[in-house]
Amino acid sequence: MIEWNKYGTDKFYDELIAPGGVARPGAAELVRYIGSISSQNLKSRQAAADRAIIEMGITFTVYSEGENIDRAWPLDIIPRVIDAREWQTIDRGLVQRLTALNLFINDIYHDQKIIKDGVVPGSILLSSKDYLPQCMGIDPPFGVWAHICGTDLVRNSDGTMYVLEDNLRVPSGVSYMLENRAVTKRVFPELFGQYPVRPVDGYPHALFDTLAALSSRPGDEPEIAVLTPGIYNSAYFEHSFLAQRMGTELVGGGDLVVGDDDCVYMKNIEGLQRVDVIYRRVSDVFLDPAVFDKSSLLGTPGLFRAWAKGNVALANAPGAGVADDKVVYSYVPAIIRYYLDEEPILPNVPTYRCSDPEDLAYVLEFIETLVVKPANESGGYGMLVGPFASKSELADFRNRVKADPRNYIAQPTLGLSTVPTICGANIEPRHVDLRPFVLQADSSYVTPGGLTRVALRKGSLVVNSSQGGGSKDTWIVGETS
Amino acid sequence: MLSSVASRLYWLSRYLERTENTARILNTYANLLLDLPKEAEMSWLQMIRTSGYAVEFEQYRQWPLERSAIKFMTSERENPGSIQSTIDCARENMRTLREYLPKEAFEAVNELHIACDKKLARAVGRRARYSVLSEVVERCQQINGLFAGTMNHGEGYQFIRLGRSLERADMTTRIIDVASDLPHSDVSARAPEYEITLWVNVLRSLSAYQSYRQSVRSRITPVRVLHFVLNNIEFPRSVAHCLNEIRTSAQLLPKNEAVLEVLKTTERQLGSLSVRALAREHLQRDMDKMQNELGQIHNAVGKTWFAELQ
Repeated sequence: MIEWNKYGTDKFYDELIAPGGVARPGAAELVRYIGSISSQNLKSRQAAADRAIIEMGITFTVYSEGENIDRAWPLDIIPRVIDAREWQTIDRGLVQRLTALNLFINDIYHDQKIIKDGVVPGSILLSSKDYLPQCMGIDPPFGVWAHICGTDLVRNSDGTMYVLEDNLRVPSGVSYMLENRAVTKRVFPELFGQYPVRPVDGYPHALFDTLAALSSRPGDEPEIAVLTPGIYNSAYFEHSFLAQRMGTELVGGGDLVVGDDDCVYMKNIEGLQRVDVIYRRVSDVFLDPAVFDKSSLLGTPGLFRAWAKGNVALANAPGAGVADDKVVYSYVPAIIRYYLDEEPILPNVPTYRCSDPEDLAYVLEFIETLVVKPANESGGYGMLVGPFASKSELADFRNRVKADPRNYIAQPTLGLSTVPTICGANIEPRHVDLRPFVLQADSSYVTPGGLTRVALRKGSLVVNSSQGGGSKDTWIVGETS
Repeated sequence: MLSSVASRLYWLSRYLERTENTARILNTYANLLLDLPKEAEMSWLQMIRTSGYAVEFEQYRQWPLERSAIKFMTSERENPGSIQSTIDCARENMRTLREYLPKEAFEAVNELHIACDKKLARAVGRRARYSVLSEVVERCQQINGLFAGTMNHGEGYQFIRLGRSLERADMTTRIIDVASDLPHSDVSARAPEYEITLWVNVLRSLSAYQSYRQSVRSRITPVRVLHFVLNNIEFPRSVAHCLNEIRTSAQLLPKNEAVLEVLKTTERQLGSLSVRALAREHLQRDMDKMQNELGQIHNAVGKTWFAELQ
């Protein structure tokens, strides 16, 4: 049985346990409950969860040594709890942020007022891999380009929740958020009975409604398809899962064809059937071999043209990734002030732009205290965590940053918050982040909670499942004011 | 239903049926071999001819012939007609069909694939051969049972039935084709008493022996066997029965006119075979024609329901 007063929370902010072994607001009942069951019992529940995950076929795909391996999804059964009042603020902050980002993207592809007004430099477009000049002048419905956003949040040792990243291209993980809840309900049924945990399973409906709102043929029942790069993609499980939950077709690029009328059709056994909205999980460059990567087999020729003419909606819209760039990230507080005339509700992590000579000098000098990231990579690849790096790694990164400063940003190393996690026979603190999902079309929706990812190795800050990370169910608990 | 999904269901089912057929034929031949004189090793070549990969085997064969023939037809991934290759193809088609297939069927195909990977190599030796090959047959039948018993008999199921029936009819004509060559082969010329053994073997290759005995109730003769496996509408592996299944499935699918049209020609062709009492000298030519007809149905299915994919 765990004795919470011996659980070490000293250096970092723990999401469940305040210093001195006292439960945080919202977590009291969970903490008491876990403290009341034997470690044997807890272990057998973890085993039951592991079995359920295999039974339910919840997997993710790792590409290694030329082979694709489906691995069981790693879930630690102790949930992460966030008090409902705090969540209310986060929820508003997320909507504020995505609203501003959508205004930004729309501006970039029209008059670029924000650049003319000198709030962000024009060079920002040169360094962004995902800026698509082909999108200039296009008007997607509601002026919204990023319909589905996965925002990565981290809590620092000071207890403040920071935005780490806005994923506006093809963010994944939401299916695991839903499955984590399904499994946790099986493991702790007695807790859900008496505990006001906000349900998460409204997401597929909210996603469907968001997508349906984008149809260019209002009134009709819109035909929606999920476009996947296919079985070898690491998120294929999710593509198939979401298509099933929404009751829409899961298609590959070869299942679609663009007709002479510039409309998109699905190849059915009855013949061709018009598609109104495509939730595409294929990257911009592979969407349309006629416009982007000529060798792409994942896309459909003519798709971009059909979208530009407004005959099909693509979610997210091509080019939305312009705002999912670590250099643009550093301007988001300014972007929010510029378009909304509001103060940002959620703070950014202080960010040094290596393109700026002063910042560059600072980064080169203090690199061993910083996290250095390439401006345009995801999945935690190609980044340097200064305090954990060897001398030669630091030297190597100094050279890389000097050679291509525009492609790098740096941030102070955050002391990510922790959550009690089952480690063998013990419960120990492990670092976590949080990815809530935000939907936006004619209205906005935020998942109550999101996907909590946990670095399972002691002291590690790397939460990516492809690199040994696990996950937790996330509970929004309590009354809102 | 998406054409790509329909096409994968069709191919999944064809490959599963081919896997089952290959396993059964191998078992039958292995059993037959024990009854034939030593120099009858030629029959392994006959067996490989039914698979359609005789030319490739000529390159591959080594001594002893039996071992290399069995290996070629079971675990050899270089041979596209081997059990391992066809089950690989079945699984590859199935991977993206998760949301369309009953969970049990999905798992059963996976288990079959794993079992093949693990055990097929053992079939080279005579002692384990029977049990390994029987397991493949049984698992395939279990999968067919799961499709029939747990899947909605909607459009998806019709594509499974189409694939299975076409593959079955095709295999029946191949077995006849090869068997009809036997009277000219060395074995029968020197030992005519083996002929009856060979025709029993045809029945066994099609799991038809018991059915034949029950419904024909007279001495086994080549003509009666041929009639039975071609025309007996009640026997599930007869060409007539398979064509009937294809018709029923096609009728439940949209835009079926072209397929039904081709099917009519095939049925007419089958009818005309029986009229000529299956004269021995025409048999091979007739079977070639039937295979050609079945190929036409396959093309019509593809053109009608999968056309947009090409």
